[in-house]
Amino acid sequence: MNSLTELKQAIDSMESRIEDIVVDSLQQQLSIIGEQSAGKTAVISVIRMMQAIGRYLGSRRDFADKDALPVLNSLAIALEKLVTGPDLKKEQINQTLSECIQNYKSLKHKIASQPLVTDVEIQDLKAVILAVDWEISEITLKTFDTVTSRMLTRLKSHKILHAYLMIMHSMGRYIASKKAMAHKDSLSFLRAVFENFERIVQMPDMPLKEKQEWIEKDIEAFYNFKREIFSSEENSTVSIDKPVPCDTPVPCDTPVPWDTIDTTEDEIIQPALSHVKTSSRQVVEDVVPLGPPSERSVAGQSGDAENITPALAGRKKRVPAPRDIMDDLFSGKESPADELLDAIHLASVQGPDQKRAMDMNEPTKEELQEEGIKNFTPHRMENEPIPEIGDRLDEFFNLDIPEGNPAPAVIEKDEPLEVVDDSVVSPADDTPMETIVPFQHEDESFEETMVEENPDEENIDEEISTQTRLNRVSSLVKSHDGLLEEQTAIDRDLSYLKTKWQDDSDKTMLVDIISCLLMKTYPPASTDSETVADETAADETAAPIPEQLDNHPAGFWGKIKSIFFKSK
Amino acid sequence: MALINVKKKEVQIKIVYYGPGRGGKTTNLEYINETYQDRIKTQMVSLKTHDDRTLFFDFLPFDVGQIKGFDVTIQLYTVPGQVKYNATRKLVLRGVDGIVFVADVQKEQRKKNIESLNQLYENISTYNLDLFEMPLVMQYNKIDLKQANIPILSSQTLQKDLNSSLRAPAFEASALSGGNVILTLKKIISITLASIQDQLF
Repeated sequence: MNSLTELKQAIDSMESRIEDIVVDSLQQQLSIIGEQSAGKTAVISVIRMMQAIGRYLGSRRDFADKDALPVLNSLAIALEKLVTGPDLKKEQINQTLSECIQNYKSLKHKIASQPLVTDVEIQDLKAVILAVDWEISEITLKTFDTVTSRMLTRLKSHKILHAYLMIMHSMGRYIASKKAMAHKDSLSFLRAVFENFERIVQMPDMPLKEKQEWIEKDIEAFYNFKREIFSSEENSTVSIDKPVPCDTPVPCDTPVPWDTIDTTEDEIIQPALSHVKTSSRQVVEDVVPLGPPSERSVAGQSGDAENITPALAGRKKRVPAPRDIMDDLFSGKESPADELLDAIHLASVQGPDQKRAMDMNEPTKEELQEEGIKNFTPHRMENEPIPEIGDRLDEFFNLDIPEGNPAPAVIEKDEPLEVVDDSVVSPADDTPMETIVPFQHEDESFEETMVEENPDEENIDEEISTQTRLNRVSSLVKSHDGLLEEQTAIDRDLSYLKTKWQDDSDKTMLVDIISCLLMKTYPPASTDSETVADETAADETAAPIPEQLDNHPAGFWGKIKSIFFKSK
Repeated sequence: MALINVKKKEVQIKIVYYGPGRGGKTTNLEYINETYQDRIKTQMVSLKTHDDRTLFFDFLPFDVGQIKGFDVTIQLYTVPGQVKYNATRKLVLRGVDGIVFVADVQKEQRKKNIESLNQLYENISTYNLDLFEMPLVMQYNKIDLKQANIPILSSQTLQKDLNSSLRAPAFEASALSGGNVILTLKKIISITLASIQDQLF
């Protein structure tokens, strides 16, 4: 029978080395024979025993009991007899089965009664600890590391013993890094941990709870000891909080000295992907440090830092419009995000249909080719990017604004330039304040951009505008008697001031008074007054700034003053 | 997988920001979106829970312009960091071209960083991809917390925990203030494009 032959071959190959592939083959052949022998109770029983031994061999491999393979072999012979034996009587079958059960049980008992750690291993460990205690040398420490590492690998599945070994291994590494400078209690602590480890090993009947209490105490003592070491060495050795020089490559394959790793949880935590493999790459790239803000170079451009608005610093909290997820499902798909969202919802990805979700919306290769699309799976390689990539990215992410070329968001070609009001007649005309666009004439896009870039700017703008308007009203009123030309501008400014001061009744009343008095000084309204005003305003832009305002005859401002200060 | 439309001369790559919850993945994208809003021109899609955590993913697409005649489009995604959303994380990783692993430097997050990276390896494997071969950049975020006297992990420890076998380029960063956010982004785009440049340019 083919399966039986292959079964025997698998068992024979286990004599030299137990490998996953062989164990898998054994289990596979047993399953096949089991299917073929459905209904034969004795055969099924033998197969189950063989499967159990197979699992045991797979988990312990070279550390498996030496009797396991002979027992497996005897079971295989019995199995062959049961399957291929012609016309076996019921008594013969029962006898064969009882022999198998006896062999299996004796093996099971033997395995269960074996100590987890052999006397030899305990003696080895004890010897290396004593050797280190006697003399801290490279040889003794290396032997200690070898013995503990071997036991760590073997006892990986026994958490309590493994934790003890971790502590001892860690202590060994610390002593190896510090040698004679190690803490004076290091060795006594190591011995104490070993004694507890030995007791647990030699008392297999100790309740699990008691073992847990022991290990918890020892872990706590371990952490306390570490704290003590750090507190005593804080001033003399490298502190863990001291910044690691980032230009120093991290030697990933060499043991990290105790004092350069974290005080908590360090040895217990396995690095990520350590269970997978180690990289064959030889290049260790440094961590790019984050310098202080003034030294930061964003986008690889020196001097960019000052121009960068910190993220979230100047933004208003934007509340995204609520999305109706179900609506989204039936709407036209606009982006890959929508498709992904649909996949998440339609497939109930946290449920049993995950596989379906994975396959959704995945275009076939043919479909892609029809559209002229090729797809590549990128692989990390050592090749340098071509210069064009770097140049393009530098250009895109460069925040430098060339001189004489202000940010496009500020300059709008269609901006109503007349409202900048160059006609403002003021000594302060050449100051930056005067170039601010009056608030109510800004177009919305400009306003939004400014607000988002710097919300404080709006307040500043308003403050300046208020001051500007006051100056403008004052200047216009002082410098002109008729006020006809400035009627529109003054009305606008007064309207702004009234809105601005609407909460202050005194100020708004004064503005009202000024408006009323101005109305009285205006000439009778004409139907084309606005046109005239615009034309004259345009002319006014070219008007020279009066140099000696004080020489002008008393204007409207003087008249108002005279109202308030008449009695003086 | 990077999509290359030869007819239209377009290249599209997908970058995923992956890492433990509350590590700063969304903050990275928000910084990029805020800083380059006038150039990105598209809307960032962000679906959050009531406590401001990413529910499904964040999405930020943008064009960086032409490289050797090809229009290059970058799609940035984040995954939800919460443990319970692993299925969503897997979906977001579908077709990924480059990964930024955003680790949280706070000491108390040490285990979560490692668990998250281990899970990333598993998730990537479901698409028959090998994390060791993927374009990958490490970002050690929240480095600024040190100034607030919050215990943080040293870069050496982070390298040992997360990058000892991967050996990817690594950056300290402060996503909140934007420190090294753009350098990280440029690096991942650069190495991702470099990995397909032989077929492309």
